[in-house]
Amino acid sequence: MFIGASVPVLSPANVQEVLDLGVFGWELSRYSGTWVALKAITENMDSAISADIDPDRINIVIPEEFELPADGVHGRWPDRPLDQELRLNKYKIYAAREFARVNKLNRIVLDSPNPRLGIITSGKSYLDVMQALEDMGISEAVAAEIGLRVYKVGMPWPLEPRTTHDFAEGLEEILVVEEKRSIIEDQLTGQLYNYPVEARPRVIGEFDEDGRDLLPNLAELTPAMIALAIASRIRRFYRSEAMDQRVAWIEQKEASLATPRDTIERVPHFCSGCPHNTSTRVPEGSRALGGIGCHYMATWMPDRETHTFTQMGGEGATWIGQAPFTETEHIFQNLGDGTYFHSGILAIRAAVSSGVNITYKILYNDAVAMTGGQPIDGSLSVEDLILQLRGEGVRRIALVTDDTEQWRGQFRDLAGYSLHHRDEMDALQKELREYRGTSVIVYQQTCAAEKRRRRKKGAMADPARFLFINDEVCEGCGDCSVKSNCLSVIPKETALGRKRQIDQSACNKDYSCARGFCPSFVTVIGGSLRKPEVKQDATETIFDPLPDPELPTLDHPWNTVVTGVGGTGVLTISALIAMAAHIEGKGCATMNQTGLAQKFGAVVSHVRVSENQDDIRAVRIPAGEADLLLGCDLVVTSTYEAMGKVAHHRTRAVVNDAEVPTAAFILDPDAQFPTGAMKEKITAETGEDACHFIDATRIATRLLGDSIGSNLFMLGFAWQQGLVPVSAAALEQAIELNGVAVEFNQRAFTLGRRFAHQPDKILARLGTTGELEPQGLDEVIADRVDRLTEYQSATYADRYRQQVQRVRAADPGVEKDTSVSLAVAHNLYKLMAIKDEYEVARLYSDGSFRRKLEETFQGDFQLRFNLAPPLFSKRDPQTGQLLKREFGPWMMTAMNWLARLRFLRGTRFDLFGYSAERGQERADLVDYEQLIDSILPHLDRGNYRAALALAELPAKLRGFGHVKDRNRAQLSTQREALLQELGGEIAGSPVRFVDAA
Amino acid sequence: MGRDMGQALKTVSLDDKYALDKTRAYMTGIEALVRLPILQHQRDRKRGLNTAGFISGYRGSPLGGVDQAMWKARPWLDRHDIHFQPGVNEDLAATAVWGSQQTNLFEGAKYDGVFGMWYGKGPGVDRSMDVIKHANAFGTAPHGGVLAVAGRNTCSSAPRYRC
Repeated sequence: MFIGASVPVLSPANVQEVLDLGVFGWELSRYSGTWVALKAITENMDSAISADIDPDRINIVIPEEFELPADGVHGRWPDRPLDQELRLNKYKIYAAREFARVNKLNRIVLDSPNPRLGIITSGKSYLDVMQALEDMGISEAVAAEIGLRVYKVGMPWPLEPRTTHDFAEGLEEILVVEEKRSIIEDQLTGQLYNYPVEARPRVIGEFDEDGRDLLPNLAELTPAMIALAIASRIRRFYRSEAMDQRVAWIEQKEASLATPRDTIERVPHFCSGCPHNTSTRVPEGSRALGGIGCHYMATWMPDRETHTFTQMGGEGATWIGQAPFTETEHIFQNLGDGTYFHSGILAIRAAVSSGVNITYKILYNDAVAMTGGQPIDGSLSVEDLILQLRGEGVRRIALVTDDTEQWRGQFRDLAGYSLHHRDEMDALQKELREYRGTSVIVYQQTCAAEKRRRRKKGAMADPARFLFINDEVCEGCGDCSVKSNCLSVIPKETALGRKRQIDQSACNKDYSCARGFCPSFVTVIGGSLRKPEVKQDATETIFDPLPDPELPTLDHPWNTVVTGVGGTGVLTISALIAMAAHIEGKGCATMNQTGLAQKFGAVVSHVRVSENQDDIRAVRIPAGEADLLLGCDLVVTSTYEAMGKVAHHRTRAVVNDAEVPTAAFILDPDAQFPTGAMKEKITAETGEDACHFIDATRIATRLLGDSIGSNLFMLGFAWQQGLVPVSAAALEQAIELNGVAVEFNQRAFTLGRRFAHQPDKILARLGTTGELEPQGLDEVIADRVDRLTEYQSATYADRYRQQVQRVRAADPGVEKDTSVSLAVAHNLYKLMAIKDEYEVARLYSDGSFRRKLEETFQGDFQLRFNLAPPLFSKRDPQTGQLLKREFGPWMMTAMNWLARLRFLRGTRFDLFGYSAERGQERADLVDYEQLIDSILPHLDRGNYRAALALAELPAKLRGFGHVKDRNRAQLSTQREALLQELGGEIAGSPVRFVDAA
Repeated sequence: MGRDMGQALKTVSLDDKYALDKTRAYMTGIEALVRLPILQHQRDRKRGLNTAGFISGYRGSPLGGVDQAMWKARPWLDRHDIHFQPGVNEDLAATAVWGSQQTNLFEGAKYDGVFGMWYGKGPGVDRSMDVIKHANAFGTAPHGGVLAVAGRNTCSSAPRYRC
């Protein structure tokens, strides 16, 4: 772009050169009268080093040979366009070239008396080239001997010709190594064109001399890719063992990474409690357009119908070009408030003037969350926004909020304005999609990340209001995940299958998960999260001083790869190591790969520590050269970004193997977490004895009270193992300098050290392992018989026992780990223990729920219940679904009574039993019993798999009310297919749907 | 190693990166962009130039944290006569930086010159080319100068399985 404007471009290789070339840049701009561009790439901006900031570091030379025009090259008034053009093209560009020459912005860094191969490179690629050479054992002396010359270009445009000529002189071939577009290559070939043919070196780069790909311009170049390219050229006249070894290693590694394997992906997702979780929904039958901002993530969420996006400020304009030519009547367009302020308001003006039917959803979050929560420039208020929109000619404006009280009575005189609670969003959107012309929804709710920041700083009240799931009542249907779209609703594996729980450490208190349709949510008001109680004497033994390990020596830079989930403090870990190194006067560099991982995405951070700053070339750790892999998340650790960095006999891995769910889990309640496969991958790439897997999340949650402590715990563990090349004192000082949760972080670090030193002491304090032991058939039967006796009576339990016994007697596969008998033992129980009013009441009042509450919360708290008992609840006029309401603490007393009345169940005095829902559930049970009886005689006919699948179907008949109905309808199709597979000999009837009317 | 490192520790503070009496500090690339105008001002002062600095731009990857870093460093920037004014968008910010180079064409200029810094992400560069072309053709001030910090994302990463 800058070339088109004739602006010289400087390309710094690292943070130090950002400072150095920056100073050159201003001086160059003063001398030549041009603007000067300084390239800022992620690799430099998101990295940190110990930098030299001596103001006298740079010495500027003013060119003497170059003749500037008499009236100079600087800005003036009056000034004519033609004069400007002359000044720019005749003088300014050439002045810049000359300035670059005399100040040696481009220079030869490696040379040879008999040069053959030259490498020209710039910016970050220069460091990658030097790293590649080092990795192949090509030192300065070797380069001189074999005829290698390396030319580093600080100003890639305009390419200064005199120094470039000196570089090209005498070479047979020039390899151009540059990122993305061939800026240098094109200028170089232009400058060489007039060389005499016999003296003209061959130029290769993106392609070799036959047009084959050599260094692709699509992706970022790495030292490994560059090494392969350089080796392919050098090998024509020189070979060495070191080079052959490196090339062979890279080739083997790439083959190994390409092996297909069982894995899952961390896709970035909205923060917990983010307003976008609700605001980006569209009503059925509509679609939306995306844009730049956090809400861009809606474009990859399968349930959001949000497709395509524009540049900032183009929002909705694509629709102007489509609307006249399609039968689609209307579109929604998401627009963040930051983008509105930046340029989006003009796009709205365009929509209004074109007359298309469009509803903008302006997502007013109070902060520009995507880039770290800045206030919108100039602080746009909701009031200003609404009046501006009106001024732009928008005749229908709706304000949607989670707190309608705040806005009641405002904008009273504004025609076409309405105020809505966010619960009414669906109905409102259905209304507005019928509106002709441009309408706007202003969705006002503070950004969740911003709320969390403000609450931490005490600038915003942190409500003593928590949600808690009674996992005995929970059916694991996942409706709460769907309703909230929130990753702080996480799976909880229990003996009765996968249930849900709230990740209290990460919850941002948006409470929309309570809208999931089930009676298992209670609201806890007052009180606080329970702090882990460590007994006085225990504190001393866990957090006591520990012996120091032998630390790594720094005869080469010590490399640490840190992986983790975005938003959990992974980057803090690498910053702490680097800062500690700086404190000790060592060299250090960090580099963070975060992509769009605001939250929940994959983060990989590189930390290099060396004796001196100059020992570090590329900030990114070269392939296979990680000394420590600190895996704070199993999924990210098993990705190729991390696995490419590790090697046998070099890397030691410390990995947190907690199963932290990914976004896939929100829409798929049965999503699997391939722990085993991922661990195998890590072990295979690193070596059996080099890996430690630790459930750091569980230890941190139990012993520190917050899962966020797991990362410092991991660092402490690695440190105690002698895998971190800085002293504990320096790390502790870095934690203090960081200034956030200092004591907590130091405790987490010490706890990690203790775990490495005396794991038993920690394990002893964890209590139960939390791991579920697989239960055998006898155990399952005994357990469920007990439960059903409690549920209703010994007689009822006996009905269960006898049925399971019949299956067991006829089951040829009874000895298998997964047998029809076991499936029936699980699923028959599920259908018999219908979660009717009595049972839900019993599961709340039997004491175990209270115990779980007490384990999570402390202090004086009250309970509120979120229920929709069919007998007493209203229905949503839009959907016909029952509406949940909050019931006060008296409900607990009522439940106590209700639970005792369960003997009425099934009698004519069972008022609740008359509902359609209960009737259907009883029919489900009878159907299942009949189905099982009918397949029993056919179990040995080679169709065991289908029989097993049939017996397991009720496991997916999850949820309450309409959620369960929806699941039942889906299962009936599966059931039909399975019955067909069994050969049609089974007298299985289709699922009976009891008439709900 | 290890044990006796404790005594060798330097006194390090988070303010080092902007303080004048240090020659080495731990900093990110973003923080280097804050230190840079301070360095320039230090250098100008040393040779008797009474300059000021003007910074404007619009955040966005990889320059997401620039404005926060500038706000945090406000006391240091003030001390060095450096004025930070984030833009409503990139092109208006670039226009403002262009304007900083015209200060000394008119009477009333309080400084010998104003050195300007503009910053913007890749698409911000794209949308600002109209301004940049004009401003570059117009030219800079002899004791001013403009540095356009142009963001670009490179971390689209290597193709899978390349290491």
